[in-house]
Amino acid sequence: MPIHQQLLFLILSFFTVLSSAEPAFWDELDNRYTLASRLFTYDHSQPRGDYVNENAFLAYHSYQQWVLAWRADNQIYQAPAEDHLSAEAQFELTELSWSHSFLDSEGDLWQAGKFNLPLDPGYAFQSTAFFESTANPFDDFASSEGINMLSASLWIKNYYLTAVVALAGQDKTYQDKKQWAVIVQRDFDALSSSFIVQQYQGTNPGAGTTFTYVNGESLELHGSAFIRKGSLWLNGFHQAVPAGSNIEDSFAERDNQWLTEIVLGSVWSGLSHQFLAEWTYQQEKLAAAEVNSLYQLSNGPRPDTDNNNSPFSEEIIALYQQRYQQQYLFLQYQYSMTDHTITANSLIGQDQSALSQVKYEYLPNLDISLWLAVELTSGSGQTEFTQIPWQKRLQAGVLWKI
Amino acid sequence: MHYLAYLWLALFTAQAGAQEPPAPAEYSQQQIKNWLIKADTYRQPFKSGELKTTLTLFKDNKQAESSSFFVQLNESGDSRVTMLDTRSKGQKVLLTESAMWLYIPRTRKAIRITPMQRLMGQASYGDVSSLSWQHEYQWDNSPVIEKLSNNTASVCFKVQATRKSATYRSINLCLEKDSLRPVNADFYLASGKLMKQAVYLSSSNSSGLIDQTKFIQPGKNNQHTMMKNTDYLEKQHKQTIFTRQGFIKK
Repeated sequence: MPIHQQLLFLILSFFTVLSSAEPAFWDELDNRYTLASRLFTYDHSQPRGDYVNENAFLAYHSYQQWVLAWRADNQIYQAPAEDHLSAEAQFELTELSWSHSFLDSEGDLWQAGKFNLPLDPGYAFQSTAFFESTANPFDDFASSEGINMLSASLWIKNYYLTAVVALAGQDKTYQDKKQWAVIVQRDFDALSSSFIVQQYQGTNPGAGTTFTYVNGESLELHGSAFIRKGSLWLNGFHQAVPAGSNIEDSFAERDNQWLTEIVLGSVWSGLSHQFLAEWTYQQEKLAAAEVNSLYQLSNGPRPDTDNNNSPFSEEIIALYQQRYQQQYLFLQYQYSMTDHTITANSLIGQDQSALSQVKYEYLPNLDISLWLAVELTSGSGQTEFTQIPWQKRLQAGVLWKI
Repeated sequence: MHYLAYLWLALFTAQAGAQEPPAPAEYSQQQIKNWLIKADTYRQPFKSGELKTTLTLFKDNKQAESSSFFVQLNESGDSRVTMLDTRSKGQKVLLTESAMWLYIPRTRKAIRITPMQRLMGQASYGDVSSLSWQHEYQWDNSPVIEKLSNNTASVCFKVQATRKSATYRSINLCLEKDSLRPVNADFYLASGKLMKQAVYLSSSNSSGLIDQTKFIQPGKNNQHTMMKNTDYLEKQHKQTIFTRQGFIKK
């Protein structure tokens, strides 16, 4: 259905429900709206398709056990080789879910619809985020679109058990695959832990664990690990390279191996300062030698993103979600005063390229936030973050919560 | 020689004339625990219930900003705080024996936070979510000091955190000697640094209940934060809302 029809349907349904509502309805109805707008300027070596302005309207409604969240986005961009500005709009149904407890003790929880089921404690990297949207610490307005699924949870003494069936995978590689999982959560004093068994349709099941631990008043530690035999993500590369090449052997070898993904992180909080460090290792992704072999296979230096024909082309489109290196480090420093916050983020790959951001935010009152951010990609010509379609970007934004 | 004799005589006289300090009264852990239980009744008049909290930040004695919270507490000392104001509406904080969790609706996710993380002005998450000392602190056996101020006798003593989720490592607490009503408190970090101070107050219509707390941070003399509690209601809650999986529910 076209965007304008979806929007019209949503608005009409909403007002129909409101007009027939009893007075008690209003007491239980929770509406929240966020209006955000940002402008960009870029500094890069050649013209690309750059966004100049983005506007987002985010809405959240909840009534009793129902939640409806949606967003409408409008982007104005300068297309390559064109001297006029163009615009495009998107509508996203972020969440439409129903939850209910059947037991008098409310020791159970059933959820159905489109929603997120968060499990992974990672801030930037996640190895067990099968049922939740991808974390993106660089963008407060990144999509948090849920997945169509059904989950049933039960508290049994100190254990919290969840069974979930989803109609889609969370990331691009698995978005056409159904998936299921069983999750057990348990807290041991200051340690909170989860254990998960998960399987995508037609793949090997995997198992993993997560933990968070707070030590004293300032230090938090967290992490997750997941292991699975084989990788659909790696298969994509495997099929793209010539048979018999060295790298083909390397990929074939891993087809039947148990592949591990690990995330370890820590947050230190002071009175005004906060420091976050997070590291990830994904065995299914590409080692430095494999990346070099792929460069050679694509005949010399990698071409620009706009006319990329290297084996990485698909991955570069959704670069953040599809990071292809085995190791990354994320660092964040935040300094907060009463109305002012300064945040510095840096995502560093094993090839020593980096995506960095410094953001200043001013909160003049409880409803409005203004910010200014500078983002910079760095690395040599053949490293991952120089492939982002800007080298330096300045962003100014305003957010209004209604 | 004369001088030495005078010096000896002076020292002897001074020592003989000095009064022995009064022997410190003997207190037991149970006695101080009972004091804390009694003191808690002034701030939290029920074991399980709910109330509304408003934090107001003052700069140069002028109101700068204000924020409201809905607080639910149970008899085990666990609490759930729901933010009511626009900027953070829908955010929730869970405080249990071992952890503090923050739920941010935009991310649909609960993250574990440290007690040090700041809420607003001079107030931390723990100041709003915890209204009792009995579950989180115990006397450290240091001397109990009696003070007289404005014709009111008070007892002051130091308590140390026994819960991992306690907001402060130690507190110097002063209670009115007769009523055991909290008067003021100094809050310390693990390093021994003074983090903030609180003065406990009652509105004229509060029937002696402590419904206002003034927080002051050393080095920020032109600022203070007032915490005001209203709409107290004794109520039993489902235990599941005090779990990390259940506290995000409506």
